[in-house]
Amino acid sequence: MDHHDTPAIRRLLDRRGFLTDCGTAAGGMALAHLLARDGLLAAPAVPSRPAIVATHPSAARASHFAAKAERLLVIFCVGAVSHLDTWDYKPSLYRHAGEQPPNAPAVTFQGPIGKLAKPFWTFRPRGDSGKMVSDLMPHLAELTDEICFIHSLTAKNSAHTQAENFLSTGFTFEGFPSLGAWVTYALGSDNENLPAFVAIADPRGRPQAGPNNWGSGFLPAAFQGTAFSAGEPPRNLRPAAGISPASSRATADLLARLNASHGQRYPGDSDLAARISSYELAARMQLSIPGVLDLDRESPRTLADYGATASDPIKAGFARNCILARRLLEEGVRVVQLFNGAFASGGALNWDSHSEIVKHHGNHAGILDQPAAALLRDLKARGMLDSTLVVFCTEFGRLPFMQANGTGRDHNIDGFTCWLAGAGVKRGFSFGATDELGWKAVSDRRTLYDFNATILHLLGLDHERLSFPVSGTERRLTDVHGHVIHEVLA
Amino acid sequence: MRRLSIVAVCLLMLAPLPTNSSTVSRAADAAIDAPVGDGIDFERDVLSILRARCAACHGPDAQESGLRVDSRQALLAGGDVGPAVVPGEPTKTEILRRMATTDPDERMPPEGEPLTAAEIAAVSRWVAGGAIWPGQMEAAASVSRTSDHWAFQPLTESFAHDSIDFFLAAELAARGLAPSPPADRRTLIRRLFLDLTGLPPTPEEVEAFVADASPQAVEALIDRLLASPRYGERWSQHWLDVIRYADTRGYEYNTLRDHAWPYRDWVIDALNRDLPYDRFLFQQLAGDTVGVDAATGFLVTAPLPSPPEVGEEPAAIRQARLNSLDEVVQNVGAAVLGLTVGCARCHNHKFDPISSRDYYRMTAVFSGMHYDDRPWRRDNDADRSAQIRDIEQAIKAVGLELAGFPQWRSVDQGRFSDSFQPVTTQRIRVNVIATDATSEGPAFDELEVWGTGMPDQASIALPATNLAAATLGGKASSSGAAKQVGGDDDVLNDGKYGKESTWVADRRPPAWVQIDLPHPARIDRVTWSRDRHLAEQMSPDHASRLTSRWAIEVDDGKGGWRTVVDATRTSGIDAETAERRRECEEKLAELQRAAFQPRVVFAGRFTSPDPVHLLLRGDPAQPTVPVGPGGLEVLRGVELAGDTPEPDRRVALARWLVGDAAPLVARAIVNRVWHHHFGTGLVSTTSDFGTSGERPSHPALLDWLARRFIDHGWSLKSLHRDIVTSAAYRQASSPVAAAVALDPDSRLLWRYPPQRLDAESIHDAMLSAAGVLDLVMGGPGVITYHPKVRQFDEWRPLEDPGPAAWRRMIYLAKMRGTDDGMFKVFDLPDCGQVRDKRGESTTPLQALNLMNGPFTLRMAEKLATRLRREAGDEPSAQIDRLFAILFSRRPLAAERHACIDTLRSEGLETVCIAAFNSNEFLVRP
Repeated sequence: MDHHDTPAIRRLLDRRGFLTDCGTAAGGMALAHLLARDGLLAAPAVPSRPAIVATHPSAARASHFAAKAERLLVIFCVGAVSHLDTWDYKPSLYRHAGEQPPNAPAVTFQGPIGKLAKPFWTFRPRGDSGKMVSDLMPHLAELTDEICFIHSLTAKNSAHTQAENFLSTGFTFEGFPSLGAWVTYALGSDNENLPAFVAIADPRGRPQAGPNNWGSGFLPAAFQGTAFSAGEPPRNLRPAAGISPASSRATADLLARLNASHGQRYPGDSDLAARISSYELAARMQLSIPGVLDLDRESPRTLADYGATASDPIKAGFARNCILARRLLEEGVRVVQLFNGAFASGGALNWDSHSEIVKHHGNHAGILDQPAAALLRDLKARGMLDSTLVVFCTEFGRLPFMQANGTGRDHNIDGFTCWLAGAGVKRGFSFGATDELGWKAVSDRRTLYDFNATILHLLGLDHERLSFPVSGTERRLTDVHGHVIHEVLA
Repeated sequence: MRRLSIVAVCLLMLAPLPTNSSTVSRAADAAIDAPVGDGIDFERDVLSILRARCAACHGPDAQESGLRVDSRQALLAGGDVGPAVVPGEPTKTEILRRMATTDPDERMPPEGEPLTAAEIAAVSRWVAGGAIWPGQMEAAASVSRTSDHWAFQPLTESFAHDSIDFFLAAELAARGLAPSPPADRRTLIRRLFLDLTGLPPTPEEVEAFVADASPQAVEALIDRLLASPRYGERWSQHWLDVIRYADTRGYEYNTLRDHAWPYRDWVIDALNRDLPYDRFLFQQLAGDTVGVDAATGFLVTAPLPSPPEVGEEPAAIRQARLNSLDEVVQNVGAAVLGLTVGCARCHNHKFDPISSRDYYRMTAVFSGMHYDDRPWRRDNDADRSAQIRDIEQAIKAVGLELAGFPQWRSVDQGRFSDSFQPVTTQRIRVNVIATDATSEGPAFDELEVWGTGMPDQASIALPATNLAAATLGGKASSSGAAKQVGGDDDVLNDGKYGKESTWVADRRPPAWVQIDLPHPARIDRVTWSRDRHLAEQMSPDHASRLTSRWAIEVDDGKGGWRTVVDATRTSGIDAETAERRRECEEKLAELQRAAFQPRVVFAGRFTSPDPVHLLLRGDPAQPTVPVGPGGLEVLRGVELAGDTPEPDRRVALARWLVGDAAPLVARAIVNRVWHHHFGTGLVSTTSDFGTSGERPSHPALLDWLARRFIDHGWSLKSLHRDIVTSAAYRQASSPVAAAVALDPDSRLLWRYPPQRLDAESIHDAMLSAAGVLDLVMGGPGVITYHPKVRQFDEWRPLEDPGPAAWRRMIYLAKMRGTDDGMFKVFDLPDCGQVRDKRGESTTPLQALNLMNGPFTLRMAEKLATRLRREAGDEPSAQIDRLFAILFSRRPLAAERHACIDTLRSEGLETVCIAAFNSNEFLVRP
């Protein structure tokens, strides 16, 4: 049976990609493809069109090619983590601290600049690789041998919201689909009783670009991330107070009868069938989500390892979110986006340390470190790290010199660090480098387009083929850019 | 090694870099700056390089990046990233930059040794000297953009048919298909109502239509619906989707655009008046020149980061400004022209005959426009001020009448309500001077403060939000609570009513209760109550602690208190006087609403235009030639002089759109209208009529409709009438297996394609069915979210915004990128990007929201109340009425049976919830 079996799905997919009329661009593309095969022309990508079954929009679908990673965990540190104080060791900074930075602009994002500053935490060699990592996050530092660092990333806009949009959607503007939406649009999920894509907000609140980080943009709403966390279950999952289970069942039964009666007048209409099926899926979600949220089933040992019993309620809350992330991944959820840090707040609620970086970074690291490290260890212990891609990212880095206030670092989009771990990536590996001050990426400079293209590649997706026609343009996560960073692939 | 030494030498002698990227080597920079015309031999020194090193990829056989270098004209026209050569301007000449760069990804030629400094210097001198190419100096500077693509051709003038159905019949017959029989009347009236007005018909309208045997019944119904104000409310949303109208600015702060709504109201009104589409466009681009200020809200609908979100770097500020202009070009390009003009920002359009120069011309049209408020002059200012004078007089008269009543407050429903002139304050205190039984102190179960929100958002009403609520940060205090009898001070604003949550004074009057708001707010009403839920059977003992004399004071911000209410409740007032006084109060409130008018409108502020340059790769750091304002060359758009003053450039663009560009503009809009009537456009890519868009399924029909549209004076209502009176629109929607196999989408319209209701229609239809839809039109959007305390807070939806929000969804404030907790999953756009088509997703989250969401429960309660009121207590009558309201028909026996069973076991509300979730209710048939 043709999987594009309903008008709505067909409309969503826009069939022009399948037409062979030579007068159309698609015809041209098909021709181009033939020419490319024969080596006559560089190949423009032929858009892939996932075979979405209307009654099961989140059913698992094939990747473009064999995938290294079956599922994706994105740990998103909101506000911009200083690479200079964490993973990107720059001994020169100790020598030049207190000096005027060479060739620096008078103002950066937030205003006038100050003097170069040394890292605020001590770096030590870690693991077998001896890679220098700072003391800021000691638990994660112990996992250095598992991690594949990319030190030469660049971003496009030095404002948080636009940069979050850029990292999550490939565009600095609002309204484009997020990485998670693209992935679930392409691949669906292994467990239809849970949302295919879950966005777990920090206990302190939402990130600055808010739902745009997990939005579906112009992709069908079915692929937007469902936002819930250990402390905040999904809205409307349960019937309102005062509605008894019997009453709920009666509503569902009556609805089924009304729909069946109506369906007799529209035999074979699969849009209507899809709506009926969505109620069945909803009923199953009502059963499965409370189970996955029930963290009391975890052993006291696990809770302690993650830091879920910490006296700091924010750390404990984040730890519980980390446990939730693992449980969702275990259950076959395709994409879990786990936020550490919330909105702008003078550095108090996220990593944006324009002042008092020692205090603020110290505080956020204390919340992030133990739970995130426990999550990685737990995935490994359960044998899931080989098939799960873990992405640790932040929207940009921070500058090697202080702001005029002398206590904080401003935004740096010219060179910063994100890392990967798990399925398909090299272990204990570092790629790319910033200059001796850690300011600008100089060796193997890469963009976030490249970073996202690499993530898709590990999930078995060609970033140039994963596109969707919008107002005449084949839109992609990577816009018209991006090259897979092959050097980091295992 | 050799190159390095050149670099070293040159470093000593050179001026700073030009505007180009810092990856240009210093050596090349020296070459670019070399003096002009010292014995350059074009053929020997320049052409030889172009031929030997460039032409293999950029010549007659291959044109990578769309560039050829084998003629002067081709170099000046350039490739995807813009002109390759700018005569006289070596620093702005792309081929020089690419020859000189040290970036291996960018350097040209990519293969072999880089060009030597001497070679680059020669090319640079040639460019500096005017890029003289002997024998080619006569050719036009730019390649003329022409196209044989169908969308850029004039409209066909002669047609084989003269009605929609004949055009369709020809295509159907060619595929061996036939149209379906006419839909039955009940289906048709539902379809027409939902499509034209976004609301379902009432049972009475259905029965009257079914019973009307006259041959004109359908036409009469269509005329009536098109004349209904509900039409404009429905169809304006389609337009607002495309240009992503919202009431907030988006990005991180996402704060309110308080004065955006007059544009939304203008669109609704324009559609209702059937303002001809050519004038509709003109006013949106240049309404300020004809006294229609609100219309130019069109220019500023896009999201925009606020200055602190842009930062202080000059480059970022320039980029943000260009982005804001790009948004306008996208509005015009996608919505009006149906073209992806935005693709030409960084390079000439890959598929369509749109050059970068075209793009920057359109940018230049708006380069004097800023996203800002502007004084709001009305098109009928004189009338309007007379009207305001009348209203003010009426307010005075009602005020006098009110003063004649005894100072008295309503005690029904156990709730007192004091309204006063709006005042901005952070602290409100109710001083109780006397109670009915003076031996006892007063009691309150809740003290609520209402108003219009924060002072800087003065024009936005927040009628549904109790500003005193503890959940919003309100703090209660008092002269002292008798905790052995009641609760502590915090029960005053805990949102709970009744005895379990009552505050009782620890003393006889005088006593006071006070609310401190988290921030100053503009307030105009205080309500307070005693056992509110018991109000209807209030007993004498409840009355004992009732306040009978009181004064309300507000903090005047200078350390003192200002009295805003000083009142006495007089017992024994007769019901009639009470009723008259209440009417008087309501009338006053109504008049005050009518008199309220913001003085500004968010419709763009215009200043002297900034100069615009063609930018290499869209990069503001790489300007090349200056560009004047104008339209697309392929549609005979003329470029005006760069110093054309502000409104003239917008006026010129508007005239061009409905002049030289009219065939495309008319095709684009008739196609959009068709799309919304049938679910798919004749051109399915409704915002791309370019070569990568889909070709029309019925090209002749598209042209016939466009031609007729222009001939009928650009009347949208005539166009609607043409479409919905067609047999194709009026046919049945039942699937036919054989036809499904041939044309599953019904693109050829062998049946009417049914569609799931969109979010607005579901919301509005539920309110309408429940009998509580408030059809008040216009005004500031009703905010259904908690107020923001800090500007970067997210908008959190209110659990139950209540009756103030029971209006058509188009009048609810639209928050960008915000999840409303209910309708977002029904493909409600996030208003970020131009959205020409909505998805029609089906997801389990829709089911959860519609089954369990508080809005559904509230509407089910209201619907059940309505059914009991209209059908009495008999279950089968209630079910019949339910079907008439929700489905426009009578139930089958089995359906009635099933509903009555559920009603008996679980109650009528449960039946209503199920019916709201049913496919029949949620689909336009």
